Amino acid sequence: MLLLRDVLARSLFEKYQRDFSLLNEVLDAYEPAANRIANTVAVSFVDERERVIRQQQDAIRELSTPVLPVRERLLILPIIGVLDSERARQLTEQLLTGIRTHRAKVVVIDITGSPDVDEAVANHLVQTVDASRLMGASVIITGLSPKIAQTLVTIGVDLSKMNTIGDLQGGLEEAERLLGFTVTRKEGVPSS
Amino acid sequence: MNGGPALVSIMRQGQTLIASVHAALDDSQLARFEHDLIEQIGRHRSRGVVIDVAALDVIDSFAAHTLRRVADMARLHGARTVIVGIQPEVAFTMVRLGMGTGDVPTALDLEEGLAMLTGGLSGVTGGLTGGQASGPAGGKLT
Repeated sequence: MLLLRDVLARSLFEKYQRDFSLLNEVLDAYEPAANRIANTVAVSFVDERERVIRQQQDAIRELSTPVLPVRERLLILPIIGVLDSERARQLTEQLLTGIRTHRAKVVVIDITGSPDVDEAVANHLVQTVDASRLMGASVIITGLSPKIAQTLVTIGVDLSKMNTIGDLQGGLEEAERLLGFTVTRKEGVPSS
Repeated sequence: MNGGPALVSIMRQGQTLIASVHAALDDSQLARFEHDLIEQIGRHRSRGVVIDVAALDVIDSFAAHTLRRVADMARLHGARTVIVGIQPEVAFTMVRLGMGTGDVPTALDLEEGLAMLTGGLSGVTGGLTGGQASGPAGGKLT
């Protein structure tokens, strides 16, 4: 863009070099217009990029806390990566609306992929469990890392209200038991 | 009790009373609701009460307290209470402010609440303590 401006200016110089005052006049008119065009292009370019970045951020945020129905009235929330307070807030929001839309009875929150949380987020997690209970769904938390377990004990959570199970498989089995599902292996299917 | 139209409708369905709250209640209306409901439980000899708060977008501490009181009084009259239809935002606000529903079980909506009561009513003798000890989901899911 700037190159184009220079090239145009040069051609103007060549065209009007015999008449100096005319050249001055032309340049006076030309410079602001060229600057303006350059400015507009640059600004809209930046705007567009920011719009794309915002869109991607929104998409990442949406994807970061998926609420997945696995069986009738059973939801799974896998949490991967660090849980900060913003993500925790979003998780709560999506979980609670998910409970309503899917009419969930049991929710399994799997935090295997989240190595550590701070006390505020741990507290938030406990509040989420309570809020889900108010909506008639019971929550099973699976995959607690030793560090998170330590945090939960340190902040003095009432552990009798928390249903926690070692891994996601155990959590799913417990959830299926609560909902009355039984999973059986079909005869004659070779186990790999 | 104050006059004016009732903001809560109390309907009878077999042995169960369904109390549907239509709008946010102020303190005197809550007191009136409490009075009406207990009176109806006594009159119909109900065994279960479902309080539907789906229309409420705010439940303050006094309302939560009243709901717990109603449930306690209903228990004294031999009826189990389930609170249904708490909205997601309301649920989280209640938890943040540290005011749950105490021992009172909750369910997603009216249908769930009724199912919970009929499930529990079949074994009424141990139903009360058993249902609470095992939490909202345990015992009612088969």
